[in-house]
Amino acid sequence: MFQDIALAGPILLPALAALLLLGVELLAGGRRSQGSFLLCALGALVALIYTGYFLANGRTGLAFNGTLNVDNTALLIALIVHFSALLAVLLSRSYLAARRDADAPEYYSLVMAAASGMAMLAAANDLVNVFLGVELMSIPLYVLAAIRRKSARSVEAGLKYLLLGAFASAFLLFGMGLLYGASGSTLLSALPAEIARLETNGGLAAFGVVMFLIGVFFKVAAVPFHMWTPDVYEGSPTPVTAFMATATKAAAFGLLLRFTPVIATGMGPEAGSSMLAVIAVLTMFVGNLGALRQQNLKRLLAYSSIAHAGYMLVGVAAIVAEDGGEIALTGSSAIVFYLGTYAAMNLGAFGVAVVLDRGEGREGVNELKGLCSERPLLAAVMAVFTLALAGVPPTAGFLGKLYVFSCAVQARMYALAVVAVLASVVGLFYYLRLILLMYFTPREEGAEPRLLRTDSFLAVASFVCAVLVLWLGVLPAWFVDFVEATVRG
Amino acid sequence: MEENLLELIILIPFASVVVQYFLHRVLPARLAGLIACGAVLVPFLLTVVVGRGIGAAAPQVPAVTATIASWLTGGGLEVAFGLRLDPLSCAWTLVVTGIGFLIHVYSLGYMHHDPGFKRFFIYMNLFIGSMLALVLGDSLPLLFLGWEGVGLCSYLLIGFWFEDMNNARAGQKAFVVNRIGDLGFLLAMLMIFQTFGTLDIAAVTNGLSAGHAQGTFALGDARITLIALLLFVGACGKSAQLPLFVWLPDAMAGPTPVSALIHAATMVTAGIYMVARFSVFFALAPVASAVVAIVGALTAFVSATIALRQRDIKKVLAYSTCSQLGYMFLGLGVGAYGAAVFHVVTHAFFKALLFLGAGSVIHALSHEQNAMKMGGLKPHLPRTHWTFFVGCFALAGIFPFAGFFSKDKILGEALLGHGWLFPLVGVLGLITALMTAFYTFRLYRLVFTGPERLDAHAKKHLHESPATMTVPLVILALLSIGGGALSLPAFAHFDILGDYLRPIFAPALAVAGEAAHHAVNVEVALMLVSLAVVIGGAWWAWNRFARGPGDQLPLPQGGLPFLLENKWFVDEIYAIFVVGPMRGTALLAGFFDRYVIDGIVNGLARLCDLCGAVVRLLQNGAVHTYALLFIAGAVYLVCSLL
Repeated sequence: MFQDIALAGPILLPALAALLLLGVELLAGGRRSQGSFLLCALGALVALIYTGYFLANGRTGLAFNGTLNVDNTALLIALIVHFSALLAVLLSRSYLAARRDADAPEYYSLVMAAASGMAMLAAANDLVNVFLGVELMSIPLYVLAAIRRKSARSVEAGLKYLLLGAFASAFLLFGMGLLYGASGSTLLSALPAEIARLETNGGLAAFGVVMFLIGVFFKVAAVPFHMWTPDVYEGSPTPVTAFMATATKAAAFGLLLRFTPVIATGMGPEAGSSMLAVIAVLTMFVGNLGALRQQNLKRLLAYSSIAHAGYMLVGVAAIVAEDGGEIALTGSSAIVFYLGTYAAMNLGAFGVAVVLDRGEGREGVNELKGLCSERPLLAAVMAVFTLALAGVPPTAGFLGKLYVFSCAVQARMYALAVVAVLASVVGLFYYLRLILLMYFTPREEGAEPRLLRTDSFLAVASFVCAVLVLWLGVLPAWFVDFVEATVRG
Repeated sequence: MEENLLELIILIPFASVVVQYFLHRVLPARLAGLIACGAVLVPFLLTVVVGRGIGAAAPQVPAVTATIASWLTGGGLEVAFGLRLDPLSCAWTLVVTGIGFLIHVYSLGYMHHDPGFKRFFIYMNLFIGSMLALVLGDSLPLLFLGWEGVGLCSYLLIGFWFEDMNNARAGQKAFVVNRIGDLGFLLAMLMIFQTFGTLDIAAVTNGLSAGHAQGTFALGDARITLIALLLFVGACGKSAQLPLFVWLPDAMAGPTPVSALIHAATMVTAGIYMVARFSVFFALAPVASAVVAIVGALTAFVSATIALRQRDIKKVLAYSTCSQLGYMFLGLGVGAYGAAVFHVVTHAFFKALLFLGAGSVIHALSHEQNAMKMGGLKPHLPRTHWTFFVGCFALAGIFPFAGFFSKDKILGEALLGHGWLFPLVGVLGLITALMTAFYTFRLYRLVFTGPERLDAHAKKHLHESPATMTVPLVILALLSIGGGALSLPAFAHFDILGDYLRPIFAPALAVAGEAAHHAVNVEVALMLVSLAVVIGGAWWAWNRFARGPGDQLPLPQGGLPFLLENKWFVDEIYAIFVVGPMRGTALLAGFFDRYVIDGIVNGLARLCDLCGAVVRLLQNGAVHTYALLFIAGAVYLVCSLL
């Protein structure tokens, strides 16, 4: 029993922090203090260190009768989730200081609760736990999106997310039901064998897989289940957006990686991978095309995050196409690498967005104009993140793309790899436009003075992200080796 | 312990660059200069400490190795930031940091009034770091990284005073010409990887030796010959050999300490280092070796002829550098690897000395460089004068100065070599020695003796340089006098450098067959002949230019002097046959790019924009539209199952 609880630490620790935070807020009686910020940051840090410790020492295993499979991939994903949570919390302080209406007592508690759900999703080995994880992740996020109750945009974001999220959950549940019907098991790891054994069910399993996937596609914002993303990302408080864009993606992709054998047996490797490939191509192009003319920085990053989900789906398609074998390992490690580096660069970019924030609906890219001459360091950091998002060497973004796309090549999906590269070329347009604005466009005459909202926590967070992005770009070997070694187990 | 020290050797200059770069607003100029000097001195001392340990060692090539970090892995390729200090790299490291330190100190005085003082030292430190990466790197990619790094620094420092368009152009010329050589190097690197499956230098050279022993690679193997030739193309670019030597004289546009450090003592010897490092390839490829020897001899000869008639004090020294580098390649080509490295070392001493001396003269004369407008400086610049005088003796190769021993070793091995080729290049080398002595003492006479021909501007601030500049001169002068003791002729049985380097060149010499030992009287006779030639040349120039340029000032007529005056018209030939056609092609390509490629690209961009508009149109903010699309997607996926 104790063993089980220890293994579930990455899930339980943030949950504990969430409960503690609620209690503290209750006792504080609405008097705002730095206490909950520090407590929350500490909670995320402890969870991060705990997960890292388990990872470093190979403490893995099944827990709670095999319903949780805390393997290395799950731990890596949990690591990324907690890293994102920690950085999002660090970004929150200066954001909340400027936007008092977002500074609700339950804010930090909800972040931790969502992180707990995400960690659970990554480790879930049972359909019930999957659903539990999805809801534990989503419900706090719905509330967080709408936390600025007086702001129409924020409430709209929360409501849209809730409505469409409920919609997606229904598909997910339906899929689970069908899968259970087709196999008689709820254990993810047992599903492929059972489905193969009861082959008589024919289309039932395939149908279940598709329904299940639709639910997951919604969470990773894959086209055409992505429509909520720009509106929700724009309306939510910026740190929450950063958290959603990175951690949710990591958790959902963790689930997807665990689900790939089921896809391969349920639909067949051929059909499964071609479906994923179609979705990946759509996602990459819609994400990149939608971002082209965006004037709002948060919306632009929202579309960019859709495109990145598409890149990672390329890797998933490659894994399903091969169904087991070497590529399952290299593909998984490539996607985990991508998720980790993406978390760093995206959180960094959102951090800069927090700094430049001028208020609701005015997170315009125009704020970037002439940034280089006024705040060269801020501009340089943003340039690093932008180049990383665009996938330009020597940043980590390039290597992430390289690894994922080379998986498609290994799986002999050459057309997919070519299309993916073309899509990232389209992406260059809008990423480089940001650089153009920062470095080569002077600020308009008579523009309002900048409101730079920053504090030391945010500065540290952005700096850490920038260093990681460059470090993993120039010297990726240790991280690649680490991820590969741990994913291989 | 030793590993950590070795890592420090290369990390200190880079750390200093970072510190100077980020603190350049806060650091006072004086302190920045001192940090820069320290960042070269400490690696020098560390190299002495670490290098002592590798002297006595096993039959294997003695070395200290260290790995700073892993770099590239995957696809059967493993490259780390690995360092390797063996006798060859140790010799180079000592020269780079030792001479580099003296030149840094000198620059404190020389650049004192320059507004770009701090920028200058950042570049200089970056250069030292890159050069150390080049010589200490244990793999080809790291060597290449250093190779490009020193190229970049050279480019930045040639164009240091970029406000003048000519300086910026000179920098560009150096950069472009070097690209040609780099292409050769890159191709060689790819071929090496294809042939040996590794990029680790020691593994490659050992693999080749072993392969030869097992009969995989015969003497004269076509593949090895090709690799050796491609490597040599790279070396030609960096070390300014025919026909890629045109950039070096123009590179004198940079500050004089840069000319001394980069374009005389260290960077331009990188090509020698590379050929010496891969000596086994050249030993197994007689054709490539012959090419090296011929190109070296021709460069030595041609550059020396051009130097005969130059008026700019730095241009004389620049052509002389090309010429001396030619000697070194001559030595490498005839298999006198140790002698070539020896000449690198002594040349670093006396050429750095001469350049710094020239810099001191230029400094004193408020940036006058034309030797025709100098003369009679001896009483005004006493210390500069006598150190420069020592440098002249060493460059001319007069006993017992350092240049005599190293040059004589190369010429001896060439003249006494077998076949017709070696003696031929040897004779060419001997003629070059005559010219070298002539132009060296011509320069000395023009600058320091005879009537004063200064113009008013130059005369205004005529003064001896400060101690920061003269002390390095004195040290270098002492080294130029005594440097020959590092490696005395064979019959003296005292050859520190040769013994130290023996393990490095043992595989190459084993392949090519050790050079025969000659009788003492043959060697002595040869030395006397070359000494006579050199002294003859020096004496001729001494008398002829006793009273300044004299009859030379009104331009002499005749074909040959005209040809030499204009540097064999090499630049013009390049302009007509290389630059012209390139310009034409570029014009065409530019046209094609602007109207065809850009047309396609802009069209595509417009198409993307249009699609983006469609995407945005769908994003109308209404939740039911979103849900509708969601359903449409679900229906599509389900239908795709059927």
